[in-house]
Amino acid sequence: MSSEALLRIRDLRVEFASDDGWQRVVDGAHLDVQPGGARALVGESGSGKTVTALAAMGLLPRRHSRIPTGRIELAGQNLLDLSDRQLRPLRGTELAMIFQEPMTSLNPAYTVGEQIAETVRVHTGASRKDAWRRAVEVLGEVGIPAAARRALEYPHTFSGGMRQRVMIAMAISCRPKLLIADEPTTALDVTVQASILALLRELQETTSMAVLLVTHDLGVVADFCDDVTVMYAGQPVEEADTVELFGSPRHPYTSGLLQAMPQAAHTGLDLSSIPGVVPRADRMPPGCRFHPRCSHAQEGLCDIAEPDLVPVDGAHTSRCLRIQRGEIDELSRTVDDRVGAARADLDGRTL
Amino acid sequence: MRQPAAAQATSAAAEPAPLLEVEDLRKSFRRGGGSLLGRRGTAVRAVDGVSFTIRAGETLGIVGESGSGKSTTGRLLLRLLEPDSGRLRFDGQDLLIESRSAFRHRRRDLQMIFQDPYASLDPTKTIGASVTEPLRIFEKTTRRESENRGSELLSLVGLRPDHLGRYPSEMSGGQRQRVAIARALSLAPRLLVADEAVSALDVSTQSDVLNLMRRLQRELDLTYLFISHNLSVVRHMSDRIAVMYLGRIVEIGPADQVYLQPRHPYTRALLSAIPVPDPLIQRTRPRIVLTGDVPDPAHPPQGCNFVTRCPHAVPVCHEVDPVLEPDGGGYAVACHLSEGQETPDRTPRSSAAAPTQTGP
Repeated sequence: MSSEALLRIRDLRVEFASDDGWQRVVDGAHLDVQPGGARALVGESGSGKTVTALAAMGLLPRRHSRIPTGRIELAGQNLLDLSDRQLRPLRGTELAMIFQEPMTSLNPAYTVGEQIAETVRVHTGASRKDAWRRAVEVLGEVGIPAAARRALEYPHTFSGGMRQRVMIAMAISCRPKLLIADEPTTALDVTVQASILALLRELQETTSMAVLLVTHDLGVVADFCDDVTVMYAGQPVEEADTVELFGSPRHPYTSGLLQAMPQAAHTGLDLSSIPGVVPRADRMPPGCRFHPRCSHAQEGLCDIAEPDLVPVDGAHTSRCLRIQRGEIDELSRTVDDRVGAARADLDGRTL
Repeated sequence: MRQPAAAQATSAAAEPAPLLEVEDLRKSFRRGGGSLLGRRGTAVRAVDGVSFTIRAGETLGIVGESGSGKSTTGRLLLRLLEPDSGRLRFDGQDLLIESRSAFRHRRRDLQMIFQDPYASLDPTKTIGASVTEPLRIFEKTTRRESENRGSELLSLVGLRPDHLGRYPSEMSGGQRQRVAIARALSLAPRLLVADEAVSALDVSTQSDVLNLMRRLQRELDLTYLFISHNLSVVRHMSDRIAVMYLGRIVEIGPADQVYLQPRHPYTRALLSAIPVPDPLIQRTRPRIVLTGDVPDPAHPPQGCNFVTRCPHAVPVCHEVDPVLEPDGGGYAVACHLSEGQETPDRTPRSSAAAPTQTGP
């Protein structure tokens, strides 16, 4: 199954230069994106999800970063073996990326049509005329009204949602097989987010483009993605089909994230949280990286032995020793599971 | 004269007098003014006639998207911005007749927590200096008193006294937000305005800060105005909720009523747009996807502010600006289609109702 994957990341390590030498910020990233599929890469700040995505795109800063081990295969070809020069033609036509803040990714001094047309010319060698025609066409495809006229306008005349549509237009202008989207809706209002996700879904259906969606928002994951990889402190800790992951999480961190989300059933109750903070790259705890924050951690096991990411239930993988040993049966996934117990603690505040 | 919705509602419910009464609050900004050609620019009505009340001990949540005027409303209450017009009464006293300098003393009672503790804490000052600064200004406390009070305040928000000597850069985002809360509490305020107070935090630490705020509310008898774009967080925190769109409140009422039986088409679209973190529910629930973006507040549409994006607009919506109609029970909505009991479509319906539906 995984041999057919469009994007295949294996054992990827990424290090950044610091005053104290090289800091490993990604330590064993591992994920597949199927052709036409949608994979979520989820984690909080400092989890290494964005760095993993940038590595796949070949966009890590050359002087300050290095990749000591790992493979990033696109349709079987290891991108890490390619020079910048060899990689460039793949960007745009094979893989493309969109970012959280579209305004910083657009050049304010050129019209949006010029910027998209330039992308098309560079990547496909099309004539100026054809490239412009394609720019207008693709602006229409992403739902920008009066595309021929708007192509002549500058980025500042577009709203936040429309700018993200322009970025998507630029990214899909050369029909990439994989779109890497790094928090594409985080800066947008929720109604605009809904329309951008609807657009991405529609583009997936019509062009069978695969998407790697980097996000911290589990709601967006539930909405959009087929599969999920959860990252914590630079490592993937759980990987599963979306329905499976939300239905029966197999890592205490995932279960903690799901429970921390305020939902209707929480009203009047205290929210659950994960104590402590993500450890810094230079102060990783021994054993399981999550154990100092984990309510299931066992002394003499989790603080000593370093777990691997292994299958625990079919294709569902987890980096938790106690789950792997079958010592934890079921992790609660929503507050509903503990509403009964918590009712007693209700503070009596009327809501 | 138009009766402010929330004020009428309160008297009807025979509740104690509100702690804060806001009536027809307005604030415009000039955009593009002061150019070499001496043009005055366009007036943007950031807050356009907002009225509500907050009772002592309750939490009023304000939700809205960018440009809705929710943050400006919060700043006007503390006179961090001067309102153009309107009335603000706190504990029965008019806040706007006082001069700005006289108002400074009132700030003891009204404090604010901002989104970004990186920006609101001075990076060159220790936590102790930041937390006790208001005490030294308002109460002229000695250094020793300040230290004692600083320790108390930190333990109140779940930090240790030894955090007093640290700098903001040595603390996590959640800890910094606790420091900001401790500082806001230093003068024992009665009303706290929290503007996106947890929006910069990761979900695992966000709940800690929310739990802390609820505990402090109970222990210190605080009243909250809780402003956020995150509708789930607002629902969790609020007794009542106001939904803002383009500078106005379009719907206000008890939290459950607004969330479970929203009557304004904007509220319905907003609620349906929050992705639920459960794929089985999220992929089958009906969604109302609005077309277009929020209009430029400098050029609001004629008639109802929401008419350009409303899936249900009828001719009258293009001509007449709807007023916020209170129902006498603490609930009010500004929509032509919601008049009286006969709401044409009270619940979000499938394809017939909305122009764009995305199904599973």
